[in-house]
Amino acid sequence: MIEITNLTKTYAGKVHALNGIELEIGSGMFGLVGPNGAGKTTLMRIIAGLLRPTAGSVRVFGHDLASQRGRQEAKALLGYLPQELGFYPNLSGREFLDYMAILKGVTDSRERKQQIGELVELVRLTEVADRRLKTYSGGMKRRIGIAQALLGKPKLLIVDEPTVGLDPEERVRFRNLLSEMAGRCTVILSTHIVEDISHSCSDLAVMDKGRVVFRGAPGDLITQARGHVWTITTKGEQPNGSLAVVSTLQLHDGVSYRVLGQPGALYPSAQAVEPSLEDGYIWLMRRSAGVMA
Amino acid sequence: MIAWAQLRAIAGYEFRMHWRRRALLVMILAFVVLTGASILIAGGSLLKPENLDETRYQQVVSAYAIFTAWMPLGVGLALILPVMVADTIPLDRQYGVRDLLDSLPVSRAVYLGGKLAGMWAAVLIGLGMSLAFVALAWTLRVGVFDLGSYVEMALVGAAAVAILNGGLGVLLAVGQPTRRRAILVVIGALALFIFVLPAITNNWDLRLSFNGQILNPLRMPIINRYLFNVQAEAGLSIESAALMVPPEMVRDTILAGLAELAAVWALAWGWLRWRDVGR
Repeated sequence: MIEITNLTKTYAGKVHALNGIELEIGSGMFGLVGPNGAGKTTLMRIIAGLLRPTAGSVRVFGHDLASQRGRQEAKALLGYLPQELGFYPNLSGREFLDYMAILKGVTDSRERKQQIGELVELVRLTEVADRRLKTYSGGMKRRIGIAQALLGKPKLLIVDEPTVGLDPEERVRFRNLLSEMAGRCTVILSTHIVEDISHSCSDLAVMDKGRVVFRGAPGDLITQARGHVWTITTKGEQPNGSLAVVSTLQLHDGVSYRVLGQPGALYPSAQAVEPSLEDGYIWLMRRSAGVMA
Repeated sequence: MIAWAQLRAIAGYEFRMHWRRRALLVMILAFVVLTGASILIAGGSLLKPENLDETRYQQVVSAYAIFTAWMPLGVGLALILPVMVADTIPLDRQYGVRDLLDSLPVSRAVYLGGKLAGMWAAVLIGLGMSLAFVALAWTLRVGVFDLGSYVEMALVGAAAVAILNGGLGVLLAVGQPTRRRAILVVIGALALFIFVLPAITNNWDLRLSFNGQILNPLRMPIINRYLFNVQAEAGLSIESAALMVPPEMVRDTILAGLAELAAVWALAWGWLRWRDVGR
């Protein structure tokens, strides 16, 4: 269980990255979604013990991150995949994982070897595991990053934008892997790809400008947009007024727009459709920005 | 138990990374090539004259062997090594691994200690291999010489300067974000330690600052011992006899260097702590 109380983070220059965050995150998969600059990465870095809050407190499985001892104990339970992860170019993938495993406290060499073997298999890198990391492609590096986060069987897994750089098949595999992990530990998944959340999280928070603007199940977020999602087909002109275009589909005899808002009398042929999580998210963000009532 | 395993892992992988980067290999090769050239050039003039007895000849050959090895080695270890290893810790940030390391349950002392131990192991093993090669080359080109003095030069002289100055190079650059900044900071710090600070305390007399200070990273008493003592003992130079360094002064220089290293360690540890608290 992660308990976050009145968490505030202000960077130099009075930049308020987090503003009074209150969250309780239980076991399973927790999604954190929001636009760039919403404060997601700052929140993840505080939970991972990399940043100190300006005010408020964070407890990870009972360990208070305010103390050095608490942070060290919480770190021993953590698997972390940062948004931008670098590597030692002159180490092989296997050596890098071995190094990280020992630092995580997996000191038994047989157990370490077994875990590394399973993980390189899981991320499909067995054949290249002994090659130097400087020869890896971006996607392969991401997969090694994922493997290192899973080393040591963490109780808390924090993954920041994990699917960036992965091909569609790998993304699906990784989402499934995270869902599987969520059965054994707490997983916090931060992303701005709503699709990743919709497929794997039963609980989520939406952040904007350093605040949590929504907390609940994906279904609740979808419900908020119900009755506000429409398709409008035109000869090509874009719908105007206060409507927000979510997607555009070129047809042979016109253009079909998926919009959020109330088309009213302007578009009598508009058809109401069932909202998706992405619609719910965009509806929420626009309401939060005061664009839609 | 876990801290010890972490220390060994950091040291072991740092050792591997030093050997896989170019800097250490280039330094070892440069030393071997420079010394090898000296052996080839000077070796021919050291063939034993018929009227010289064996003991005296051994002394002369040993003095030359040590002098030839120590000249490039002393300068390299005192001035080039700290710059060469300055990027040991900043590379973690340059490579983008720092965040990941900070998310692991590794204490600051274990991290610093592992980095230092790995660098020391890499440098000392490289040093040992190149000195063994040079000794073999001397033996093949000129003949047998006093191996005891040579080993003393390696263990007391070379190893001590490598430990002290390599350590300084790593620790002084702890806070730098890139290799370039690390190198510049260490060059600046060395200049400060070698010239400015001693000169201030000696009415800007650079000769005093250069030769006299036991805290000077040039480690002049150690350098001078293997430049002048062996020559004086072999009767090769009258001036050298006046510049001989007693062993106590070498001991004091090593002790002062260790104290200096401990102080810089405390600064580096403090900086890491400050960075941790201030984020």
